[in-house]
Amino acid sequence: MFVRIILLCILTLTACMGPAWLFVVGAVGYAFAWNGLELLLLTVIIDGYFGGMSELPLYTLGIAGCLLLARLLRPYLSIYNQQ
Amino acid sequence: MKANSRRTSQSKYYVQLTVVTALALLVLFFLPRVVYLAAATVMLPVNATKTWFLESSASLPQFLRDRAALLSDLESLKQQVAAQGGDQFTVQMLAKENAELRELMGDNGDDRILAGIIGRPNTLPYDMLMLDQGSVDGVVAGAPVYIGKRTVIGFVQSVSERTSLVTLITSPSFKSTVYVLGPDIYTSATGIGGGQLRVGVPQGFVVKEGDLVILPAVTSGVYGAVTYVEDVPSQPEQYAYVSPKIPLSSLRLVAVGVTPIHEASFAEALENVTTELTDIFTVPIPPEYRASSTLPVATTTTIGLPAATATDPTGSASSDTTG
Repeated sequence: MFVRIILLCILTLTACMGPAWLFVVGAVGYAFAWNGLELLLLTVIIDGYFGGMSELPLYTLGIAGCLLLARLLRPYLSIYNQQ
Repeated sequence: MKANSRRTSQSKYYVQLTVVTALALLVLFFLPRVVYLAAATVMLPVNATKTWFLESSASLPQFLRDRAALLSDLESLKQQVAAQGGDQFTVQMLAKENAELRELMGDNGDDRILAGIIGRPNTLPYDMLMLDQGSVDGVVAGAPVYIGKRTVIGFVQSVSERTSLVTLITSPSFKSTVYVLGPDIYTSATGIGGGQLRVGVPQGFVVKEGDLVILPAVTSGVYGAVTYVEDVPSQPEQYAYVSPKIPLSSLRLVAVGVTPIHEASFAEALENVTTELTDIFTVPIPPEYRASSTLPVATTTTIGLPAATATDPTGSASSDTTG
């Protein structure tokens, strides 16, 4: 739980300050590790602040897709099935 | 029992994910201003800290900005100054910096706000710039952002108290009207990110590398030159890729106008292009180089201007005679 909170704080900082690629990599890892819906809150902040001229909220849609994919792949990924 | 429990838990998660995603999208589409204000509140301490680390002359940020490298640069600059006749070199450097800053601030009477760049496209989530000036400094949304004397690279998309975000004209899918010197046509351009504009030129017009591109919607000067031409004969359009005169990655300072850009009519655009075409050959002569005080400040060479041709997005061309 403590690691998850620390990582979420780091992701929040990278979401605010960049670099964007570091946030994306961290968010994907976080999504696969914990399937946390709080990632959507972070991406709403990014799309709300930076994405004013964009037609679609790319980060929100992307992370929603990533969370769904992580959940669907869960039975097939060995890391989740280790005893 | 355990399998049922797992399936129920999965379904519950999917429902939660769908509901939260739908809520997020609803809020983003219908309440964008609320989301922006909330995000700005979250960003405020982060941006303030970032600006302090990057720009402050306080001891701690300077130390954290690699003090050793700064001292080393200082030593080598001191040696250069000593070797080249310190006073003269210093004066030349200061004069150059002064001229650069004057150019950024505009010498034609326009008020501008000098702003430092604290966020670039490679660090921000979208293709934009973050500036260290905000509403308390007089920045307003919709104001043009300049590099050099008159080259517009974007406009202020949103303003918070201490920072502002700039949408670049090279942002992906951003459309603008340009005038291309060479084929001498008005045509449309689309941003593709990374500081690049893609200009569509109908087949039949000769466009080549080095042709200058002007943004006529604002008094923006020459935006850049064509660096690459993609020409597939079977396609109705050829594409010219344009980079700005000054690479975005080397920008440190920009100037922000104090009034928002207004939508320009074709007559205004035509006037901007004509002005730019004549100004291209104008060089402001400093007083010490003028032979006589009766000489004008700038000399102008007037060349018979070619007829400008406008193309609409469908590729059909119409001619307009100027000058």
